[in-house]
Amino acid sequence: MEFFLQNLINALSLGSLFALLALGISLIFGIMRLINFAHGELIMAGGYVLYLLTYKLSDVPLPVYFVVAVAFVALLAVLMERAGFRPLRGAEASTLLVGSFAISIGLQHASLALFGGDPVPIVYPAFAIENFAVGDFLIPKVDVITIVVTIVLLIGLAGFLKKSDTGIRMRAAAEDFSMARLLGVRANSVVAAAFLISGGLAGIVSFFYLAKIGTVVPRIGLDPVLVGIVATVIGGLGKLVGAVLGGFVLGLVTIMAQAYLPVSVSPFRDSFVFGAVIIILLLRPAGLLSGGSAARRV
Amino acid sequence: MDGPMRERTRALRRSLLGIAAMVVFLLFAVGCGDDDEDAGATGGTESADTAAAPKGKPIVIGMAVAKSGFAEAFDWPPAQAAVLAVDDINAAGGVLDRPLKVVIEDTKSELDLGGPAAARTIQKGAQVGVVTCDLNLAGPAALEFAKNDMVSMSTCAGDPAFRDLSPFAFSAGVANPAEAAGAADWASQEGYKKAYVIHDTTLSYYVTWAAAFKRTFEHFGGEVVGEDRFKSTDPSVAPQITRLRELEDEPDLIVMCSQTSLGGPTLIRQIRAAGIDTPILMCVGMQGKSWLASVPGLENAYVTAYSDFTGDDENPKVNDIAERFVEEYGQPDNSHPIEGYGAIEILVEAIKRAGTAEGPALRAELEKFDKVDVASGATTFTPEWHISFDRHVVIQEIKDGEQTSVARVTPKKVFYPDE
Repeated sequence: MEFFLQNLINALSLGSLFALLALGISLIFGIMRLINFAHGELIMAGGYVLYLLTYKLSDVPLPVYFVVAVAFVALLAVLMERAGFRPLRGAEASTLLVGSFAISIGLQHASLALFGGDPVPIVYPAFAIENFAVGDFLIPKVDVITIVVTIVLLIGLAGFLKKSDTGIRMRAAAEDFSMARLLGVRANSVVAAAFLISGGLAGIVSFFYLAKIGTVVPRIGLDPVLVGIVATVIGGLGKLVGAVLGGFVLGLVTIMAQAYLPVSVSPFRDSFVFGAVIIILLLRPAGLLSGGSAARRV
Repeated sequence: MDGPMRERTRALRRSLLGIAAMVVFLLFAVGCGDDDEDAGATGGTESADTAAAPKGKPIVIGMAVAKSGFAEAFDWPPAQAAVLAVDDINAAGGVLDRPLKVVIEDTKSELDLGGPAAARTIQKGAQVGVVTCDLNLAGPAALEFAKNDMVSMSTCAGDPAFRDLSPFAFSAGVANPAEAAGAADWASQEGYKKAYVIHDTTLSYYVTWAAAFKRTFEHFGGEVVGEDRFKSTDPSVAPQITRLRELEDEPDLIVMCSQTSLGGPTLIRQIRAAGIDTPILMCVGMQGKSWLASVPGLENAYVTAYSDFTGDDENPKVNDIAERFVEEYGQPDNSHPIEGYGAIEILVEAIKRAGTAEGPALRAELEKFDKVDVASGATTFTPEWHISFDRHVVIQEIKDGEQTSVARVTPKKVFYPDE
């Protein structure tokens, strides 16, 4: 029972990270019908900024480097859109996808050229490796903070999308892009806003994701982006709530597979996780919370 | 501007941008294109009375290695050390009175570029190949050399399956069962009795290392009280840590095998974060200082190495090579470069014995190597095993962000993969 509860806590924490990842990807997909494979490189970029600010420089206070990293990644996302995706606006989905691959690979190799292939460390404050001891359980402090931050962000984002002007315009663009433009919504600013938020989310994710890992390599974004995409799909493409749900589901399945599969079977763990994904999609092809707007697009 | 004109202007602008981008890109690509480095008889500090410069037709060594890309971090330093070895050998008179010449082609860490890289070295006259420090990555280049009946020598790959790759493929490295056996022998000598073994599942190296460690540790009288696996790319190894904490029979040594990028440091970090202070012993994939800062204050941790490359090795020749390497290229992150130096020495010795660099003759001589002494250690090949099982292993202790050699072990027992 204890083992189960401990793993449940682990699953919640991982699920929060996955939910934020999925959210970042779903935001862009909702508006542009683009799965941004370069989202992982935003996390990588956040990691390298953290490396520079905590290891190469010293005595930069946590609030400063956190904000700088998140801001940098958000701006990088906007730049990515401006330079990489805007010229492709209106192109076929396959072109957009390949475009995002190109940006992803380009950014990875840029980091390789700038920082080399060896892992570089990030110096986190002590809480990153400390735990709350609750009875027999060890609850990593960073996990608790991650869950809290995720909840706050989700509430904040929901409020923003429901209440603010930009948020409403973004939702309109996600519903029906052409109609929204006809009604006066400026495409460029909505898309830029989406990337800004998506980038901000990626920056925050990079801080917490890398807190567990402690180092950065150019390829670090590869796994998170896949997770984000899968979570978005199982939650229902185009639905933000679905993306969040998909993230938690994936986190749960991943941790439980790690925890309960017999050791001999563990090399095939991913097969189990994605097998579960396949089953979910077989039962609910449009995702757990079928996104209405995704269906209407076609 | 109205409709059609605007569209045309936009289209024109887009095409011009595209062409400009392509031109810039091509210039960039040409500027940073494949290098063709010829090294040989270049030793900058040769004195006036070194051996007479070798006169014969050069023996060309084709190096198809990762000079860029993800494998560059572990593949390029051994290649650089190999170039140092070539310089040394030429300064000492070459081989069979012929100078050595090196041509280097970049595989860019890509599997599909290995074959073409090897082919280019052959076009440039290579008679013998040197390939990447990893069986999988070296495969395509090694096979290309083999197609041309040429011997290829991996600088430091540890997977024993080289003979399976091709009868012409060899590795100058330490077979990983031997590396693991060295670690197990040391652990047993140090009095550790109960090991918990956890390894990464992403590369076969980790799997075979862990299996060899377990077998050898038990052979020396130790007990493996728990085992687990993890994936290098897992952001969370919490379930594994939980299982470790719940072991009834507590281990006195945690043994792990992974690599320095991603998974390995994560696991160590999270083990210590969970308050587990048990000594940790790691395989050579974890050697390197770059990740140590991510586990602040790590101590009670040990890692295997091929040699000491900081001037503290038992073999003065290694220290000499290390000093010159550092002077020329800076301090490498691990001790892999010594294997690259040794690779050239091995090839040169074989060429001397065969009287030629021709593949079949060279291979026959290599397969007779019995504890031939080179900078990287005793080297033995047989028709069945194209990699050394009788090398020594250095154990380094990690403390205060440094790795210091504390032992050199030649294991008393090594289990061959088919035993």
